[in-house]
Amino acid sequence: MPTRIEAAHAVRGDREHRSSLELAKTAALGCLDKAGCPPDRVDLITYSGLLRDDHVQEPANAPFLQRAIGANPVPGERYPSGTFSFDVSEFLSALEVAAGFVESGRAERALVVAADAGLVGCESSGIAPAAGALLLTRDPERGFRSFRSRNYPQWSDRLQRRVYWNGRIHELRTETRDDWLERCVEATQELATEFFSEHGAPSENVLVIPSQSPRGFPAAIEKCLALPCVSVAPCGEDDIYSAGPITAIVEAAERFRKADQILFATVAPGLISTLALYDKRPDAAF
Amino acid sequence: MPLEPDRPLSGEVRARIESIGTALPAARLTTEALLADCKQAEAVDLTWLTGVEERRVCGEGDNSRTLAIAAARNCLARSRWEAEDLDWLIFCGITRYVEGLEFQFEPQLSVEVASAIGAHRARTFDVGNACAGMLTGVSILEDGIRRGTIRRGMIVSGEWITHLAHNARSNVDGITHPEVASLTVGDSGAAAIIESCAPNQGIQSSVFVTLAEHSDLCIGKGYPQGPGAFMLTDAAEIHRIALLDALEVLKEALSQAGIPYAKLGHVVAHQTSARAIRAGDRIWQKVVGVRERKFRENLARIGNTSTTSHFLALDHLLSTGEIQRGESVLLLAFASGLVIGAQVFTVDELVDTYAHAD
Repeated sequence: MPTRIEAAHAVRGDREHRSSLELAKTAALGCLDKAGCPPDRVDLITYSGLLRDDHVQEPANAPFLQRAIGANPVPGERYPSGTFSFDVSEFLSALEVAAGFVESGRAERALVVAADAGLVGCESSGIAPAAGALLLTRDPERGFRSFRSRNYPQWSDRLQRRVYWNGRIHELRTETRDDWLERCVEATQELATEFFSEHGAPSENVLVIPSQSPRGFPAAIEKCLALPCVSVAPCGEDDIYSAGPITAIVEAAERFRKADQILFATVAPGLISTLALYDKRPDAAF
Repeated sequence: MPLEPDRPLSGEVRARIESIGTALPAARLTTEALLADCKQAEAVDLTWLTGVEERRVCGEGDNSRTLAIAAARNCLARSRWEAEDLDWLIFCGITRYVEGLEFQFEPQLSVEVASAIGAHRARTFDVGNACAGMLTGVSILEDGIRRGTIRRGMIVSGEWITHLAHNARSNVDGITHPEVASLTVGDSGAAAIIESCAPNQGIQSSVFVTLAEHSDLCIGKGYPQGPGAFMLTDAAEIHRIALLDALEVLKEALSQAGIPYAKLGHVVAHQTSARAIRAGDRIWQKVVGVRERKFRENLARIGNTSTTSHFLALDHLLSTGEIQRGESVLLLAFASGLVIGAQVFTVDELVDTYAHAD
């Protein structure tokens, strides 16, 4: 797939900086700045994030971000061409959709943003406020080559997150089974075995960019796949969730630069295991 | 003719709507009954204002997930494909309310719908784009099909939204109240299978743009005083912007499709209000100089069903024979964000999935 990463940026929040929109804005503008790309040249924005500011259900978060960064918020010279923005539930799905739009020519540049808010009035949701952004553009030679995903519905009860009315406020409830990490690793290992048999063994210079949640997942798949894998430091008790893979790209920039192949490996409740293969020149930032 | 399942795809293929499925809860709630508890019922002639006479409402055991699953099954029953044949399955709804009016973040509802219908091979994900969710899903599937990444996929939605109306009726005190639009909504499910087809068929254009400056004009979020959600809408301003800025999107979609407005059979817009739809029709007639009513309505018995409204309207128009084979249809999205989108397709053997076709 001739779509490559042009730039990446990630930010971590804290107790004072917990707004997903503000963090996403910082990540997106930082990414565009690194690419030297003005916001109005972004044709597509996909946003993935679990925890939103104020539990807003409608509209999607992507339009709020589009307005915040000034990406064609009103009809301009190119209208009705402009920026199209929407949410996709999980990072690699958002990435695949955006890469597809770039490949087909429907978008010249696509911004893939992932962010989570820090919840107010909650001791710990297990999810840290953080955001990351990738800018995608076309490349005739290298970039995303293949995506593969599989559901394991027999493990759909291993992690469930719902918001319910507790009589006073809308509260997030997370139910996790003890073997959640184990099932995530098992699914990824099974899918990777099939993936490599179809696409060939990974390069000797491959780097794995995994989900950073559940905690211990990067280390566990490094061990089971016997491939080098990026693990970033969590934020205290909370993991970097939606923005985990982008944070890993940014915080392990030098390792990313040296690699000639990247294997993205994410997991999500359901259980959904997803892989993506990305070819790059070994000395290029992306 | 659609491609055979094992035929290799090329970059020339297009996408078409292969089948449509719908699901409506059995219980009905008339506008009169809804407004009986309204704080200022006499100040809101909702049926006159919107054309909504009644809507379906979730009963015991109904929720966003069950409606989506029922619609997906109905869609498969009308399709030549089995669930196992689906490459992608995208849940496109706004509400993800399950048992007890709990809002499910994870697992994604697409996973649960796929599992329930047996789409074990399908890649699943959820897309959120307010009331443009299903048409955004069509656009994503169309893109994947045209690139040859997938052969076919399903978009599906289930909307349990009438809690908006229940939460609004104690607040609304006149027709300009920001929760008036909440009184028009109805619960429903819808699904569609999009598949590959020959270059001269199917979806001929797809134009979307987000005018994000207006993203505050309609906001839905958790109701601060109880279960469910509430929605604040500046309907007049959305209507004004939609009428003003949608014209260029419509023109572009028709231009890309190579179809002049005079030859367009039907416009199926997001079903918010009969008055708004008729106003849009009148304005468009003036702009293009074609004195023929093309905007269709499907509000009276089901209300504004948010993401599912285009496919419920299409299903109704196809089942009554109002849409015929060979006619061109423009699907027009107006959604919070503010999203404006237009897709043009020509009706083909989709009509054969309806009983009157013979």
